[in-house]
Amino acid sequence: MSCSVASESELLQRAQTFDRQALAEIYDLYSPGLYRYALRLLGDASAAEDCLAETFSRFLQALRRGKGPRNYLQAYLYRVAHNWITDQYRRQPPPAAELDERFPDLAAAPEEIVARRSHRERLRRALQRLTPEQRQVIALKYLEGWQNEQIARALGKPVGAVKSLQHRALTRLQRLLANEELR
Amino acid sequence: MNETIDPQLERALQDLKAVADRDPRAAARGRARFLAEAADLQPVPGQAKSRQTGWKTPARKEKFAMNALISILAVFTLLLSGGAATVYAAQDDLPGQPLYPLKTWSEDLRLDLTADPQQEVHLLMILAQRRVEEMVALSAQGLTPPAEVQARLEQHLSQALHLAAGLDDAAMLATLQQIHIALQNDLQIMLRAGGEASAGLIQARQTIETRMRLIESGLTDPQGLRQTLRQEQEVHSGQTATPPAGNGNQGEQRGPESTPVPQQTPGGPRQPDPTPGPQGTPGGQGGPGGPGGHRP
Repeated sequence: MSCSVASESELLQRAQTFDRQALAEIYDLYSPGLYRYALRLLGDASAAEDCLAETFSRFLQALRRGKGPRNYLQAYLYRVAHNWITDQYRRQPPPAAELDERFPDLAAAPEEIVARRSHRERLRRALQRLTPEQRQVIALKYLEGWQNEQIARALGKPVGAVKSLQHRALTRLQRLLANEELR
Repeated sequence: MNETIDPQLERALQDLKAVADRDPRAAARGRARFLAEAADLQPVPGQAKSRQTGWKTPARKEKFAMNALISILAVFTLLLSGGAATVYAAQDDLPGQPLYPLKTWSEDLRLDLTADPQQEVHLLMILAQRRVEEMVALSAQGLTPPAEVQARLEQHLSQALHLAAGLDDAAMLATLQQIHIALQNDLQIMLRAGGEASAGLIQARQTIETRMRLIESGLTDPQGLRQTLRQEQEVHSGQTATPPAGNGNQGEQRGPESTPVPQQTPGGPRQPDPTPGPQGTPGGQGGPGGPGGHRP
């Protein structure tokens, strides 16, 4: 979910004055996507909630210091969230997936569900072993469905560099998964 | 640069996209926490943080001035007569014990001497916990907690909610969060007590759970909560117009606090002004439906 650049810029201007309604709109606009993003990478609802709380808290702190984003708020928030997730990975590996994770095929046999859960965990572990930037590119591109231009803004890099990162990330991810005999 | 992706890897990534929805209650709490933090960090030049809106406790300033004067005189009298030690000794008494009325009297005194609404809410939650502990202690002794304790618990909770509703939206949300946490703690105290719950404890738990649900609705819809409390106050006013048939042993009540959450509004005339007061946060409060109270 995102809003147009013009309205996002206007929201940001109002947020910089701690306009309550603007801040509430920002939360309502971006928290659902950020939560899913964190949950996909962390595999734990509680950790995803922590990530979200810390992301928005850092955003407020930055606004207060007058150092908040001037534009591209969505990219900024995902960057902050991603930094938090990267720190979390350093501190401890992602926990096993929660039992209530939603599977696309609810009618799947139990052994298939277990196998898919296992594949997810291997994929999360493999993602964890990418560099933070590689991981962010893969997550934003293939999990969030962002365009390269949006990813470039989130990373603060040219689009060409994003494509290069993406290529290296995919190659490494395939190698890591092959080594884990997932595929 | 080649952007093609191995189909199997693409399927695996697609599979990772499917995640459970966020728990709506966690989402509401997160939103309220964020807005409360924003209110705390907001630079407010020359203004008190917990300023009141148009929704206010009736004649609070006047009542405080009078009560404070009386209370100060009473405290001096007590000190001079050596009564302070007695009041102190009364703090451990349970309902039915000789010094218990002194304990509740000293609590009311402390409430009267507390001017700041948020501090008063804090004190009320301490007192609510005390009521819960009293009920647990009595139940452990095989005694039935008297109705007076339950009534006081309801009074504390109702009063805390009314005070919270009188704050501006951001302060209200933060205060509701604190009340909710305190009530969760009260429920834990009851659960830890174990054993067979007495009827009084069951009723207290239901009271607390009802208030928690009300708070949860207020976290997403502050205006709705204000409206509910206003109706509660109207119900109470209607009841006090004709003397209740109860035993009347509560003496003076501190405001409209002992009425449970109304299930429905009586058909009597409404107060003409349900309009909330100005929402004080700087900038952007004029939108329909109140500031951030309604999710899009």
